[in-house]
Amino acid sequence: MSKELVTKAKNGDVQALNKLIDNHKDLAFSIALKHLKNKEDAEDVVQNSFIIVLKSLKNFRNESKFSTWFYKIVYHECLKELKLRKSELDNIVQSTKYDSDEDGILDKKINFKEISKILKPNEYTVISLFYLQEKKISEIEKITSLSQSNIKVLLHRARNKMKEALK
Amino acid sequence: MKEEKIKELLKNDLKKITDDNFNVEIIQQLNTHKEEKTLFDSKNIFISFIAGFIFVVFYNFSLIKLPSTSVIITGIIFSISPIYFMIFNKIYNLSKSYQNQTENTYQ
Repeated sequence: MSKELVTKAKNGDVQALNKLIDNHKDLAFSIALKHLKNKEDAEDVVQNSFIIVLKSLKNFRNESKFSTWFYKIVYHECLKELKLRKSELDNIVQSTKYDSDEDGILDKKINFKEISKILKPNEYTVISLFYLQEKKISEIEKITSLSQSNIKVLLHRARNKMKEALK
Repeated sequence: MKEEKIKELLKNDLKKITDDNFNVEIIQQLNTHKEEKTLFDSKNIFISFIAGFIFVVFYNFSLIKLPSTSVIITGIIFSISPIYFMIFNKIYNLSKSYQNQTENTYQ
């Protein structure tokens, strides 16, 4: 199905392009939002990633999945944006704030809708790619450039946090 | 906790892009970034250059003996022939972009 869409999109089929964008935009946006914590920036990053990918679609050989390629670009565009902002220090401050919020959330027994709030950006990226895109660990490794053991740890931690939150 | 439950929770938690023109903007950007069409690509230029060169060589050696200056002039004309093709391409691209601009203003 995805291969068909990609082939049609390669030939300039606007409907196929629309469908391809619709299939991936929400998860890509959620991942970008989790990393950048700003709606406009996240939308820009996702839009740029789509443009990068679709512009070079002609050179895409179906050796790897389109989605793996696309999410790799989204993930690295997020990191690039973070570097550009030079907000590493801000992120540390935010993540410490986040951790303290997290405890509060856990105490209150969080709502289903807030589930992603308890996960850190990389944990959310890994678990959502694993469950929603049904990516294998090796594919997540390609996307994030994290080591397989690191991915497994993140996945385990994210699962545990979700379990804890739902207890 | 069942895997399905996690999947469901993550699915329900996906954030939606609110911009209605999100897809349209991407497709528009793709159209503006489309490769410039060329009248003569590098392959065509090379082929016509070689063909012209062979023609001149055969013409010079078989039919009439040309004076050395005319041989030099024809040689120069042929060796700079790729520039003509590049100029033709530029003119073609300019006319195309002008055509696209006028089409867009009337849409």
